[in-house]
Amino acid sequence: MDSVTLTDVTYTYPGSEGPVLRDINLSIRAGEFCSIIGPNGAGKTTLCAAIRGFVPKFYKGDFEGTVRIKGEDIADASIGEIARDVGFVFQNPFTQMSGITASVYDELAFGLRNLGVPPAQIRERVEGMLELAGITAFRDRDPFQLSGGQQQRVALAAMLIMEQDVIVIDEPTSQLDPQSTDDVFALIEAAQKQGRTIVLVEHKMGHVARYSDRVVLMGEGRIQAIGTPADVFTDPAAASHGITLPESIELAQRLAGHGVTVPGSPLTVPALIGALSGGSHHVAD
Amino acid sequence: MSKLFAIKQDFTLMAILLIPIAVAVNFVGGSLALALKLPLYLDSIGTFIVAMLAGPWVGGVTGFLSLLGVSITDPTSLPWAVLAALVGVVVGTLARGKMFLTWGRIISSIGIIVLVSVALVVIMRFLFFGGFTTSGSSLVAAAMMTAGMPFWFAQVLSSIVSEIPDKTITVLIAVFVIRSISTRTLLKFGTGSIFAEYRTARKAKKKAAATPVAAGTTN
Amino acid sequence: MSASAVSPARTSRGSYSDPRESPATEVLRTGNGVRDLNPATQLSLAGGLALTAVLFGPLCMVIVVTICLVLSALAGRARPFLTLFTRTILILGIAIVALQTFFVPGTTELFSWWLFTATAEGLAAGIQIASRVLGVGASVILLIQILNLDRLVLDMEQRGMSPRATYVITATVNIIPQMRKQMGVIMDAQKSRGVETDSNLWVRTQAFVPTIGPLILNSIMGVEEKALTLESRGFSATGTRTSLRYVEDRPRDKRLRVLIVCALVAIIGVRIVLWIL
Repeated sequence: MDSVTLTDVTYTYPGSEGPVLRDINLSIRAGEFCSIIGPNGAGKTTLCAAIRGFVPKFYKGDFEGTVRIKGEDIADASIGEIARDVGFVFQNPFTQMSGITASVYDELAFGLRNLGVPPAQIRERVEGMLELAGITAFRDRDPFQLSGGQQQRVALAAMLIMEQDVIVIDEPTSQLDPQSTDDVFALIEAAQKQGRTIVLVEHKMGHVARYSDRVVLMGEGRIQAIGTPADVFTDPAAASHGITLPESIELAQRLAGHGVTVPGSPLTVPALIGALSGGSHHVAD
Repeated sequence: MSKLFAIKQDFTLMAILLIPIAVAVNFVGGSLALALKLPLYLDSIGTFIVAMLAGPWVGGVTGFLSLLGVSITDPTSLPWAVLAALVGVVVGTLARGKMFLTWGRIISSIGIIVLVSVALVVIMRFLFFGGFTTSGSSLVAAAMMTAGMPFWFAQVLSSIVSEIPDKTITVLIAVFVIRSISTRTLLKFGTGSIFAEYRTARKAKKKAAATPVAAGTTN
Repeated sequence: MSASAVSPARTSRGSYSDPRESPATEVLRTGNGVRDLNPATQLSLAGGLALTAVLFGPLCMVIVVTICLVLSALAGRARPFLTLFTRTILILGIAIVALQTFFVPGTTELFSWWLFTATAEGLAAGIQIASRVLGVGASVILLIQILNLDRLVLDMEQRGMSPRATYVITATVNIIPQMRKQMGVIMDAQKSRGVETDSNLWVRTQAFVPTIGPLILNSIMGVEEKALTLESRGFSATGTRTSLRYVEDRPRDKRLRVLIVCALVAIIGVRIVLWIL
């Protein structure tokens, strides 16, 4: 079943010259890990906002087409109502702290309290989420006193605890160090394993290649390429849109330039090494 | 009732989130002015910006909360919460009346704000403290009276001397900040959209003025 | 702040569910009798004391200040009460008496000093005004000592106040230290660029805008994301909300409030009678 469906979506921000999104048609299956890549200004963030209903409800502007979540058109739902089905995580962890809680524990409980979940159930779910996100160690810390990476995990956990079916995540790791990036991705993967649909905008292509089921390449407001990570990263469109390829694919391509053909398109460096040492490769004369 | 409903409409989520930031800006501005040893208060920049973005009622609440916050460490400031709220309302009303768009109007607005502040300072100082406090402008008034000036004249003059530079610079900084905010963000705020629309209209006018010239040169 | 068994609770009028429904709700308590009064009781107590001080003269002020000091002492806050009182309100009170004595014109001359002449009329006016300031000031300081912000906000929510209103109060209190920290960083950058606090006035004035400008702009940019985040976390959801904590409003709080209102009515009555006589 499709979790998110966009049909002929074209959108222009108020006061801006041309559309940021042009004729977008996209279906994301339930439980799929779908990454959106592309150069700056390609419309990735706006696409996320459209899925979440912020476009056009919050940003106004000219919107054409339809967005369906689990088959339901969201045009008539309020942003608050859509919040129950679609979660959203931003780039800057600082702005995602509610600003009114004194501990990570309360920060996770905040959303559930707003929805009127009974206290005993809130406590149970908070404990579970602290565990899942690996943030039990700082449950009593002030959210503002945490590092950026810790804050981002708290922001993600505070959103995941709402148990929406779809989680839209916009460049969650762009301000984080490698270790924190891995931690955040581990949490996103855990969320997917719970059966949620993940829509992720990300610049770290190694991670995109490793975790995604499907990759959407955006450019100039249009979908330029779509498919498995292997398909998209080997598509010439990826290079022409200035995408930094994952290390393994980049290496495989360079090796091909030196006459070494690598079977398949290994998405991680270990996979590349495995493919090369598997003996199935051959060196051209 | 309909009026009350209109006030409630001013308090959008964006406006609500702006209030804590504005109060913090007031605090930081005030303590920065002290740290830099400037002869000004500059403790209402946040209130002015909020009033310009979200209108008189949100501006009033911001001013009131700011002084309530100050009063926790200095309870003698409590009465001035009323003054700060009223100044916020005045600035918001002026902004809604498109009075911060052109330099001519900005100067008249500064005049109005100074007049209102001076009147309120003098009246409130008299009502709450009998006319004298330990503030700088109050001591100046006392000195002027020693020099033989009448009570009200000294009160008004000493307040004007301290209010003019403070309110002028506060308005200028607020206008500068508003002008640095993107049109897209300005449109998110009720009163802020007035600035955005003015900006868009001016751009369109410039374009319209430029096109015939360009057409003329190509002919 | 300690968790304890849930005591008899009051069903809230507004959008909050009854905490009695769940043993997972924790009562916000400090363990001190005065500080654990319901915030509404504390507010009416301070309000009543302040009004009494305004209505009556210096003698009543002395009583009000004494009551405030005693209550602060019972709350275990005598020292902070006295520190704040002497540093702010008392200094202002003394200044008011002095300034009024020397600057209010009158016919009864007490003494002369340098350019100034003290008058009996001025002294009387000064004492009147200062006693009002001291009485109200003491009540406010009492409130600062006994009122806990978390409890106040929670109580407001329980009484059906909009979550938006309580959000503003809590977020304001939380954001100030954050902004101070950010300003410290910017100030250090300014200093490293050579803008010292002891350079001339024009340089210092010029340092103000580049220091505070980016701070304000960055914060305003963040508002949009924060609004969307809060929406995502159900902040605008209508319907019943729940809380993990709870502030008690015990029968003794209600009795105390009734007592305060009765006392105030009596005091205002006495005042009116005294005015008429």
